[in-house]
Amino acid sequence: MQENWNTAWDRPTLLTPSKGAGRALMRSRKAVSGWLLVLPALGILTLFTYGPALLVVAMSFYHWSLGGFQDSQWVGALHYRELLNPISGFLKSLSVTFYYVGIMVPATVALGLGVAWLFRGAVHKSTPWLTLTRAAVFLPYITPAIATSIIWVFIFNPQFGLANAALKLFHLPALGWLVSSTWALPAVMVNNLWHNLGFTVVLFLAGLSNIPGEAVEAAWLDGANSWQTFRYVILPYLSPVTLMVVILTTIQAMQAFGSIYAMTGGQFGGGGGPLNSTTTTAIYLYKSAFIFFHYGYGAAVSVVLFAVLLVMTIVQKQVGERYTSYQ
Amino acid sequence: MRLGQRKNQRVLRMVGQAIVALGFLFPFYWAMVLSVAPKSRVFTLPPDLVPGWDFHPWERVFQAAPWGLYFLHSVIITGSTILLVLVTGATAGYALSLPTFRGREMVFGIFLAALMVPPEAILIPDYVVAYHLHILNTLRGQVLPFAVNVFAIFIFRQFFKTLPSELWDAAQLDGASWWRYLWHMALPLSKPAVATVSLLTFSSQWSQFQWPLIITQGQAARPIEVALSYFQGFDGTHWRELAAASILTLIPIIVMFLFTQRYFVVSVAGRVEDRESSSPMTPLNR
Repeated sequence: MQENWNTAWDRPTLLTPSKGAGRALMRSRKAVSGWLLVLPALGILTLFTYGPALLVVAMSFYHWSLGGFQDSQWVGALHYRELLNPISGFLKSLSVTFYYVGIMVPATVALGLGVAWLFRGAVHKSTPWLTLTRAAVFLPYITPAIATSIIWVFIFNPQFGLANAALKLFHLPALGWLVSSTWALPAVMVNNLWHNLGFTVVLFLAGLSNIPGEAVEAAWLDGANSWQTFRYVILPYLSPVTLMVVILTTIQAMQAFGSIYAMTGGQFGGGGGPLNSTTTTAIYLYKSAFIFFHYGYGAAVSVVLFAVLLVMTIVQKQVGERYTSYQ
Repeated sequence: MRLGQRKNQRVLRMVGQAIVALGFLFPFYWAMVLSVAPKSRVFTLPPDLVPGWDFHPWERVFQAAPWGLYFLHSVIITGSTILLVLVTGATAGYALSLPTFRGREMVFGIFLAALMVPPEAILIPDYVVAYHLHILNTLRGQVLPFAVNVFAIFIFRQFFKTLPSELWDAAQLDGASWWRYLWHMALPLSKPAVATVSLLTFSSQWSQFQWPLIITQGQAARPIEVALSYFQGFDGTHWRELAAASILTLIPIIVMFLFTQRYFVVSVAGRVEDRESSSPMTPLNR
């Protein structure tokens, strides 16, 4: 299984052989050691990533039993037909997921950029004040989602929580939050925005500090006001980072699990909120396989989730790169 | 006049920064207040935001579950994962930096492909694999699937490529094997890479939830986050105890962060600066 640290990786650069004459002699011996060196990594990845990626497709056509293929029963496309049946709830889970992603992505970009703008300045060199305040924004991102989601359950308690206390302060009606099928998912969104925004802010900060000062100065000299400078100089420079944030946030949101589980009753039958209002595809998948033990059906859900993510990422890259300016 | 205006703007920005920073810290503060609130002051309207310093909830939390054991599990899992990720990352990264390793472009491509697979999509088959390897309900079952990280491999490759080739030539003249070169010369020179990989592995592994939730039953191998989730299930209405328990599990990672936050931020930010950045399919583990 691949953990993601949400860092961008470098594209394979040109791998040119070195010119060292003495090295040719050693070549064959070292070629062998090269394979030897990658063997542990390749072995574990085969066991827990490449193999399972193939297995999940096969499993989705079986009524799968943990004993293996010999104990499982071939059912063809049955699971996929079931997915399309509205009674199964899968389509509803997809629409919950798209609603969640559709709010989270623009909110993360807007708030992330706004907060980064407030804390702008070099990432590597900064004043103690900036370091301290930025660390406060980043801190939630590295905390375990279960522990902090418990705090958000208190905050969104309809009777004694802070959220309703704040609403009351502005003379707004109290909301049911986690017990309401309308407001449970927005409450989860607030938690996850708080939890993950620090990551986006750091990305935007790095993007902002990459903008050459001359570009901004030139705009000022040409008589651009601050809005025009922001819109026509800074935003274009930030477009590659923004694309990255959009793709990463989408992937992250599609697979959010711990926070939804902890906030909407995971301990009681897998969770998913009132009237399945927080049952995203990730929660649906978990419940299919590990609450109802329909491994084969869960595998079919996984395959569709995989495909949806793949298509969304490709589309975002295609569309994004058209609007991304590189200098 | 202009100077004064600028100063005002700076003060205004600092006020804004302070408000945002405090806003982000506030949930932690409230949890702390709740965990030491006297019983009469938990369920009040408006919520009480001043700590009352009643430590009974903490006592009850410590009596309620073997937190020390769960903590130990988490430490063992996280520690051994970091070690394994460093070993597999450094060796594979080193191989990918060798100019004489034929087939390394192919291997590079194979590693890249691993990033295309979202962990959520292979959760169920991974469980099947773990079942057949008989590692359900074990600590190693929580380590092995995470023992390789492709990002770690790429970070190490990147670092080893920056080392001057004369270093390797000199090592060879002295009769050193690639193994000695890697462990005694290349790795000590790559401390920033080791630090980045360790920190990122620490934070992702300590927060691990879904996988350990699925593969552990009972106390035998349960890590602290899963234990906390069970505690929430049993004691969901006892706010003070629950707040204390969640702070208990937050303390190690917050302490760690206080000492290393600069490296953390730079680890995440540094990678944006390579303009040829692409994006992985794999998401956060939460």
